[in-house]
Amino acid sequence: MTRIGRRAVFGLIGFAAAPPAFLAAPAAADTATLPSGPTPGSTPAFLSAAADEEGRWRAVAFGLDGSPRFDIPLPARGHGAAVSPDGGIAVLFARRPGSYAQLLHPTQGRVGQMLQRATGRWFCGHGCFSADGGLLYATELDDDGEGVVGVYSVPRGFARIGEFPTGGADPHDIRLTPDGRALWVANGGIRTDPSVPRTRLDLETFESGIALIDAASGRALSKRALDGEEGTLSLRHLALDADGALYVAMQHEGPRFERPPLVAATTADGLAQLEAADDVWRGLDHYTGSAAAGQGGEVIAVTSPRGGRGLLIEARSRRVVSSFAMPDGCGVAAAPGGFVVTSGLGRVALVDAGATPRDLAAAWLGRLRWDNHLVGL
Amino acid sequence: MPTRRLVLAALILTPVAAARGQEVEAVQRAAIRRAVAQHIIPGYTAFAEAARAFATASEAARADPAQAEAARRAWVATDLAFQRIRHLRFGPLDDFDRGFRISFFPDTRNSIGREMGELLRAADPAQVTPDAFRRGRVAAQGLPASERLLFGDEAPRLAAADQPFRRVLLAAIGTNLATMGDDMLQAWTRSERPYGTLLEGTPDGGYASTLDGVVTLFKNVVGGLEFLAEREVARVLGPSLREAFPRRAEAWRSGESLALVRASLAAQQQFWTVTFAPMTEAADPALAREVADLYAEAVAAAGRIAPSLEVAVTTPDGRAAVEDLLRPLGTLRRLLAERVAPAIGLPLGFNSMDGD
Repeated sequence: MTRIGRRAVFGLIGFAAAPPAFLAAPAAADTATLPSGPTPGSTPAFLSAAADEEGRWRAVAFGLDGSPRFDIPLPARGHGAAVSPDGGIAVLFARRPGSYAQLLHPTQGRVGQMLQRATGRWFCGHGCFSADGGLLYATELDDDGEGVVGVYSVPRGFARIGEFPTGGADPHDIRLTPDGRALWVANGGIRTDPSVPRTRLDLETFESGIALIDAASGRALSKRALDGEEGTLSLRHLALDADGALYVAMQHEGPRFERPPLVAATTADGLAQLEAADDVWRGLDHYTGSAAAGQGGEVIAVTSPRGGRGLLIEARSRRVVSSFAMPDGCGVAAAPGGFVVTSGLGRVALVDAGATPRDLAAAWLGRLRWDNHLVGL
Repeated sequence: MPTRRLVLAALILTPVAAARGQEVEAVQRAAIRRAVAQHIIPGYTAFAEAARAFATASEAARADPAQAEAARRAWVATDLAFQRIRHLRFGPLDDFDRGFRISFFPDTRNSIGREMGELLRAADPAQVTPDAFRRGRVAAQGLPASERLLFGDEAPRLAAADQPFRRVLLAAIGTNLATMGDDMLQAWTRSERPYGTLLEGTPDGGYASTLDGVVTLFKNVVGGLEFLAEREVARVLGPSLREAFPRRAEAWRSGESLALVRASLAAQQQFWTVTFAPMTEAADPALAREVADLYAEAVAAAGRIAPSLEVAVTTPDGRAAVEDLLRPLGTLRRLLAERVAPAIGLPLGFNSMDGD
């Protein structure tokens, strides 16, 4: 989007939400203690939900050089975030079943408005913007545990203007296709009840898959699943490669002595698990937590905090080309030269093409416990 | 100058850091020793004794079908005793797939029925020896398979004159369980390198330090709660009344499912109390109380479920009671991952323990 576009979107938010969300006073008490950072935009920056040493929930952004950008309190544990196409707005979603989505100014760290969940709907921790930045899509859970995409109008102050079904239960990650016309949604398939948080009610017959949905009309375009994997694999996290192929990072809920491949990718009209040596999947301990495409979309990174490993996958060949060790490593985002990966044990490292994690040299990063997802600002 | 300052700092800090390290190690070693002495060995002893009694009773039933009732009682006692150790999914219970061989649950693909059918059709005693069971037929050699023989729809055929192999299989499972029970107890109590010593860290064992041992125990505290909540209880409850699945209860044939849940919860509460409660109390007394209260709340909630898990999930009031059990179990897991692990210095992140 052009600079004019960015200003237009930003201006509209300002008009719609009085007082203008990002012109309101910043959370001074929480940001004042941070050392002053570099000029915004001088180094790539990243945003993640985190917990501090006292266990308080935060939204924290830092530069690739280890510089602090902002650190603001959250009312409850956060999860993933979406950044508008022009980089002008970030939205950090509460972990499912979530009650809020926090708007943030990515460079100044000012706190914008907090979106509250709609009645009978809960945020699922992920969202994305439309190509023109005018709409925010959020995966949400309804009262029956079925998935919907909540649609929010950016120019109307993020008013919730509608919703459409995801065609499955337990919706999680969501991505806009490169042409901007459709949305991929991962329906994890595992039923839960917001009144009994964190307890999965059906780990036996659940059906998980990905749905392609028209971004304008909400019409279901297609659904894809892995044959014969009902009740064993939950499709949860997504990344798009340079050609627009979708990579799906999965969790295994079947018998523990089975170790199926935990990454799949779309084919011409289907979905196929990647092939790799058994040891590769064994190293992930039945679980992947996050996925991201590198800059250029030629490499896909998938992390497994349980296995304490991350995989680097070459998109062209769909082969796992290398892996790296990082206990509890989960958050992953593209960075120049590779990926930044974060862990719940305080690590923030740059993983280069050689799959060698090099910690960012900043002690303050290590005092935070970094939650599931990291996004570039 | 910086170099000299660094050297000076190192001279001052090293003994302090070393002393602190030894202190931490002592705390962790003490926790491991409490777990082994007060929870693990008593649990494995109880299971081995119960399994031996079941072996004797099932052998008696093989010789005389009129003895089947005693075998049923011994089976119940063995399954209850297993709840004292089933959450300890590492080491002896993990080796040789013993955990799956003792209790193949949940069985989402009817492997138990299929493998039992194969064994009963073959009627070959060589296929049901402890050695043969070590090599395969994981689903047909443990508590659920013997429950089907003793309590299932076809239980009356256990006494049938033309079905002697049902009794042979029952006795073989009894012997197999007793063998595994003894082998596991032996691994914990042998004089040479008992498993508890390995947990404290050895140069050549699976645990490099006391920290590795403590982390393993903690993972099993959390994993045990998750298995209990999601596999034993929530999958029976189902997402709605319409989708309740009484026959997914672990022991619906014997009617013991709720008793197993209560026994498992009591064992896990005791595991927490002897192992990690003192460490947490030292780090954060309020947090320790919060955890203790949640265990107590879960125990009380399990006590209110009536008349059985299978029936409770099919009525609105019963479901509410079951949900009252699941809520503290969920909160406990969250608290353990988000607050307790960092409070007691365990390098276990919330991403791996409570992911999404």
